[in-house]
Amino acid sequence: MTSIATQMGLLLSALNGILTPDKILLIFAATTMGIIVGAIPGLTGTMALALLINVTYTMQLEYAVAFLLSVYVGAIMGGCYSAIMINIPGTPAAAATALDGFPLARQGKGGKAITAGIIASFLGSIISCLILIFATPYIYTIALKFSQWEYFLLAFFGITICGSLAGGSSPVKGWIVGFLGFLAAMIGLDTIYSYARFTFGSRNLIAGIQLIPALIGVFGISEVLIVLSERVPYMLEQKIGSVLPNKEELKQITKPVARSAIIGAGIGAVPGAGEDIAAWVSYDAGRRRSKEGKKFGTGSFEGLSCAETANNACIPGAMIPLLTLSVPGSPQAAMFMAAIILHGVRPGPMLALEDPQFLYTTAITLFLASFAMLIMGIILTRPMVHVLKLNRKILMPIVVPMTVIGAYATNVNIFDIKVMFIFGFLGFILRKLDFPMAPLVLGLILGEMADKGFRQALMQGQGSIMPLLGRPIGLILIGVIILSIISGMRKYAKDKAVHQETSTVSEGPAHD
Amino acid sequence: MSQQNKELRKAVGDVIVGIILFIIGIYVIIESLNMKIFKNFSDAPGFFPLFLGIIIAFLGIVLVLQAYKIGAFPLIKVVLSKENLKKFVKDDRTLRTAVLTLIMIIYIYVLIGRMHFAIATMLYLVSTMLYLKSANWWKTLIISAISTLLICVVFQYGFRIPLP
Repeated sequence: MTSIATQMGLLLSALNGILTPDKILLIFAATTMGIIVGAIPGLTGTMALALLINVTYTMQLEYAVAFLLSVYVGAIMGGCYSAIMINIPGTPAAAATALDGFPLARQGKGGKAITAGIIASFLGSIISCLILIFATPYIYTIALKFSQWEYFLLAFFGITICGSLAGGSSPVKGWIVGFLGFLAAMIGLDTIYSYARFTFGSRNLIAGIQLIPALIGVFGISEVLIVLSERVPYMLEQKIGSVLPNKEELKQITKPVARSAIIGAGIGAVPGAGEDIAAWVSYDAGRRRSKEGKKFGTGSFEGLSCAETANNACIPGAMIPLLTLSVPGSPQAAMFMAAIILHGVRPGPMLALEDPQFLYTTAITLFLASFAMLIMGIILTRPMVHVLKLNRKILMPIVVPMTVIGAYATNVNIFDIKVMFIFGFLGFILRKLDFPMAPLVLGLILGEMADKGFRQALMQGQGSIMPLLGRPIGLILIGVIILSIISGMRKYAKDKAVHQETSTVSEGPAHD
Repeated sequence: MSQQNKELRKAVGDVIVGIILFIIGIYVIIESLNMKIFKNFSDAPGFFPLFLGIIIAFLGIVLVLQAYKIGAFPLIKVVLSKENLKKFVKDDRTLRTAVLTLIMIIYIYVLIGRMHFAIATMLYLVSTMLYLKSANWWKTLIISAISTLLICVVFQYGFRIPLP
């Protein structure tokens, strides 16, 4: 591991590179864009990145990084406006925010609730950025010891843990889409012998499924279809009230920040888990640990802070596995990863040697984007009420041509637009049947790593798995894979028992 | 519809998806076994997909069994009955999704590449917004034209991105 002095040198050098007027202006503009897109119900944080990724194709790397990370930070926070004012989270990450945010808005404290959400998001991001800066170099040293077995097991672990966490009602559904993602990644020439697999004679499929069109389809097209197929009427709370919280409210907002930020950063670092899971876990932990836990769900600033701190803290956390192991911590991080790969950055342990400054560029950009989010978020609080009135029936169709451009511009190939649509439509059907999308994306990204790792490890061991038994990291990974499968199944059994109990109670004998 | 009924209907969906997954899994297994072996089977191109095929087929069976356990099987006949399917096809939501998807398919598979992107986009936006009754016809025309113009100009000249 490089010395602290070297790291400080890299940090200062990265700081010098980012602190230029044009980049700071770009960060403020992109954060504002992210806030607006994230605030509009139906336009999620992932969709914000899916739509705006094409803007970065012609940018230089540092500008592309600044732009995408700022959109990401802004969009996750932006979801709290609609969660609070109309009880519909602008992005899934803000779903837990609505539980306390909307009751606060109905009490005429909408403005204060939004500011509370912004402050909590800011503090969560800053703490998590520090974790990113200090934890990542240690993980690099572990990642550099990884062999093919560990890469295969890591990819497998990504699917099992992501499936267990994101699977909702059944982890099996999460695992299924994860393995389907693996299968989609098998399409095209294999990485060892360049043998064409599952191409059905199509020349276009020889290069495999392109990541960006698939991601845009899964998160863009499917979202458009879901929003437009439903008719969800909603009421906008027009009275926003005062924007600045008082001393007592500020105390409630800051109380759970440290715990929630650590939870957010930790869940962010779990492959594919994402901001929505971080917010729910933090909210649940806060409700159980707080002395005023009973007030959660009735308009508690503390509850709101738990959710908002964790979902934004998840962003720097999601960068840890992305930069060190080439495994994105969330679907949005997957979009970011696809974009930086296009710019020639190869995430993974070798990044510490090839471009050691990249970690600090990422962390400082997130820092600055968090400040931009704090300032712009508070400035936009009142105008945003008008943005929430935008007609979704006009907005969503306009999104489609933008997704088309995004898919096409990756390789200037019309075939990619068709791939995007197929993934979008499949995503729509699977989402309707309660299948989560995060494992699919993770499977698509990790499929090649799993295939190559598995076969090369067997080649090195001359067909034997015995060498794996002598690798401590590999054995630990096997242990956590088994644990994640067992915990997923236990969660399913527990949920089912609770569900059966509830239906028995609700179907109890009728009384006159 | 009660919550339990909804769950059961979803479970019927799971049975169908489970069967499809099982078929996909079997297909992947057969296809993988037919792939060329260069040196050993353990490093052959079909080795990893073979495992995926087995896992997918297995998980398909698990999904069907889970649905069976919560009592979805007796409902399959009801859900897939002629009457119910007629009701599903005539449902407002199904119809809206089908029409919106069809317009999207025409835009992506028929119009793009055969005419200028701006014309294709304008046609897509006008037809979608008219169907959704997003605004009256003249407002729809103005919004579609302005949006098309903005998208084309901003992406092509502002961000220097090639349009399809």
